[in-house]
Amino acid sequence: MRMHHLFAVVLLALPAVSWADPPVTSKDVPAPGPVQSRLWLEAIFQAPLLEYCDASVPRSEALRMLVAVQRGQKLGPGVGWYDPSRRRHDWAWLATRLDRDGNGRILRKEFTGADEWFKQMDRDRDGAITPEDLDWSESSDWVRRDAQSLRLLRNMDQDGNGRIDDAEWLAYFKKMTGEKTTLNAEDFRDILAATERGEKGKAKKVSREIWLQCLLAGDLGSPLQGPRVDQAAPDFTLSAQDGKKKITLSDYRGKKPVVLIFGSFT
Amino acid sequence: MAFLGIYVREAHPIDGASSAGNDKVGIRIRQHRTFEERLAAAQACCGALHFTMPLLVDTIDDRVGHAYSGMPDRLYLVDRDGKVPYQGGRGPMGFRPAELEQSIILLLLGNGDVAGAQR
Repeated sequence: MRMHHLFAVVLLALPAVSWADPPVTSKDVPAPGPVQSRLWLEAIFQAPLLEYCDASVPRSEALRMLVAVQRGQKLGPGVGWYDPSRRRHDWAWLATRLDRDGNGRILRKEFTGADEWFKQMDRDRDGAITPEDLDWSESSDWVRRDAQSLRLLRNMDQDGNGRIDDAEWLAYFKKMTGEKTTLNAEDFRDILAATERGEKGKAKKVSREIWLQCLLAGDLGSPLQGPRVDQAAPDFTLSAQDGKKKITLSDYRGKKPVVLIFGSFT
Repeated sequence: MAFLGIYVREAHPIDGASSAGNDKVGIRIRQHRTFEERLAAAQACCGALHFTMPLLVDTIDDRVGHAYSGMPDRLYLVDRDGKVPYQGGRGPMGFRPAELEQSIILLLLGNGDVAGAQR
């Protein structure tokens, strides 16, 4: 896509400003329009120069994502702006406090929390909390198995409710056995292999132009990076789904920790 | 522990990069053009998924969504000092409730809450 095409897409794709007074308020949170434009325009101008830049030059999340979409790369962890999560409470944090003998294993008796909590931390159920239990990277076996289980569930889930009932289970069995009535080890191997591939033809074909427009509109994500670990969470006031009750994040300060779940129906 | 949902712009609007999975189950929503449209979509979502937590609706210019880079979906933890101990990876791949759960446990542990009942 030529530079001036992209420029036009940026201007068209940015959300229209609402001139009427918004019915809800956001404290401490400025109108994102100017920052969004600046980040995308910077990315658009930097993208063609990328190959001449040294690897040590920082690349913004917006730049990395723009380049990945332009090149038609398969989006996934480590590609574009899909960086790993960031957290304060990593193995080092935990080991300093609870791994007294420094052997890399925290047993139930060394863990000061409730049983239920120990079970959640000891992810692989081997009786001790280890660095592997806190490894959420793509190289973790547990993470790979978890992703594979999800793909298998999706292959079996006919009504899209995220659960498999006996009818769906049986339908999948019939689909895998075909004319036979039993599954053998090879069949199981093929079932698991199918989860690696993903079902063909399921993904809707979306043109690169639409994809870029969605990217610049913010459907795939924001060019901003959001608060990092130990930074202040931006305060805001928004109304709830009844359109009336208003909730302010800072009202919880000093009282309760808060989980924020961002999402949409689709 | 408080849980707040924040409804942001649609990830797969029918007038954008729509998804076959959504079509299959009859979820067809276009990108919200007004706050009222977003509110209606949020109400539909609440009803269909039987939400028990408050679902806050972002302004139509996605202010809070951009401030937190929350689109299309993302998880954050905010501690009692208003700081962020956990910033989830960008969704959908980075949206991992089990990972957040570990951070919640360790945050509460760090605060001295040893009984699971604090949830």
